[in-house]
Amino acid sequence: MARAAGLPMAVAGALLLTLVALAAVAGPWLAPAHPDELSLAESLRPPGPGHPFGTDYFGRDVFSRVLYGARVSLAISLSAQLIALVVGVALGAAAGYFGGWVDGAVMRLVDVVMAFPDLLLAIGIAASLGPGVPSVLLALGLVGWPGLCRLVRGEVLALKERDFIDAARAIGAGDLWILRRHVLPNVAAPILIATTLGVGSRILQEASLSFLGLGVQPPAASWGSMVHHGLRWLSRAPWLVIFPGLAIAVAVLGSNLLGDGLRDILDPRLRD
Amino acid sequence: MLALALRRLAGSIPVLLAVSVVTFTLLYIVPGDPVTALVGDRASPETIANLRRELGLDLPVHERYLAWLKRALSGDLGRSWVTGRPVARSIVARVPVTARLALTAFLVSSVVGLGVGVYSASRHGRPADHVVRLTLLLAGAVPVFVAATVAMYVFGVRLRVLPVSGLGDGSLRHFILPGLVLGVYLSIFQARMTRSVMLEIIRQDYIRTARAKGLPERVVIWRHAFRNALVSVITLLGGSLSNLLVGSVLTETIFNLPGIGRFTVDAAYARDFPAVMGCFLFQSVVFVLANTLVDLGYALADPRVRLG
Repeated sequence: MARAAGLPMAVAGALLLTLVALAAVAGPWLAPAHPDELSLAESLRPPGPGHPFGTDYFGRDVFSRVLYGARVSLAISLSAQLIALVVGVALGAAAGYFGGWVDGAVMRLVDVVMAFPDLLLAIGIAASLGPGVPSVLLALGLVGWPGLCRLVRGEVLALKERDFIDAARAIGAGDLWILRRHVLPNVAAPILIATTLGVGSRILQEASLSFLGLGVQPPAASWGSMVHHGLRWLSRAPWLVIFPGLAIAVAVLGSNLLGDGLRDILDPRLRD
Repeated sequence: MLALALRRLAGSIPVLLAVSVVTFTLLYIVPGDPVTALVGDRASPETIANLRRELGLDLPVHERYLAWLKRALSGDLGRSWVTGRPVARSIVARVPVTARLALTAFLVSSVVGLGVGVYSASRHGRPADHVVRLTLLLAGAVPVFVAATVAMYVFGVRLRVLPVSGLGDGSLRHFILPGLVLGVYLSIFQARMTRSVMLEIIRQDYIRTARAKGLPERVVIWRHAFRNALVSVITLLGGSLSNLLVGSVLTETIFNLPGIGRFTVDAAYARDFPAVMGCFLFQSVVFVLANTLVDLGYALADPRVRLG
């Protein structure tokens, strides 16, 4: 039954993500106006024919800004998740495979990073490096890797006792070869699931940081910073908050659906 | 039991030390010179040198760290670069606001989250369960700050039934909306976790026995299944703690509540390092200790851990 539910979920998630990716890639062709084009005569127009999502205080077209925001939000979240993926998989595989002091050191590091609530750590980094894209990337990469690291370590620990690993070693394969050709391919499914779900978390975290004013800085706009600036006009122009907010929700829902769906399809152990 | 408590607390000391190192590092990795950041690069070399001495920046790193740690342990977190007031006192003054918000949210989520989770599990596979799962899936994708903004618009701006922003006279009324928003946000995670814990338990033999001997379903679910689920639910509280702290930072910022979260964000925004470090250290220590307490609670609730 769960397998039956997994496929539609994954497809729905993939569709939502495709929609977001399309907005990010084709934004410049789809947008009716340039996202930074000012038009004070059209300040705070409600959604209507000319402006499907309305306009902000400066008369900028909110629909165009949401499309461009997809580009910023998606680029940052994907890059941050890539950092988390590389660091998490490398350290997790090393810890699980080599054990001993490598394992001890890596797991202590994981404990320390996990001793902080994720957004707090990100706020601290943004405060010390100064807000902006580089510190957001660093902050989100840093909070993202420990989860993956733990997951990969656990899987590798279980795998390395298996006979085919012994067999590979018996025919003279080196550690790196075994890790790359025999261990990691067998961990690919859980990594894929965790990465997909991780992208959703990164989108949320980037939006939260930018919402707090500590992420992407103007004139660049991500969905989170649009909500941040829209809050001032809440009573007069709620569409400034609603549409970027919806965009975040669609992107996060997409990755959650795809991740959960993939889990149902790929990993029978985790079904309920 | 006391020995267990002491052992767990002692076990968190290395993590706490590591937390303090990370906090200290935050200031140390600031690009450029924090002093120039503070007084601007037009200040005279004398002023800069004096301030440097005052802040202890002329000492080697490890001495600075130890001096800072020693002062922090005695409750001195330095003075804010912006207001000049002691950071520790500012934090203490803001604790009650955050505590009240967190407590309201926690109560809401305990009732709603656990209730929905148990209900959904008891209707496993039926329409009600599907509706709950779909709702949780959709709600889980909405960032808490967007939910808070929408709630503010609906109840504060449109219906005008609740205060939108600020602490006002500090009465409980001002905590209803933020507490509800944060509580419902936490409930999403708790409901999801409670549901899966309950589903696992409902499959057990003793539940089948309870049903087979003709107990009403209500008794089976609440007295037999839920009581055993509670042990696992306690560990889930650990996961909710992070959400609670992070959620309160965002909620306080939106509703303009002068709590610790809001203080942290303002300090980060102004790059007021003593305040950032103080907030950072305080919240991380609370987080680590709370997690230790949750661990302990888990040990106490489960005889296999307590006696084993």
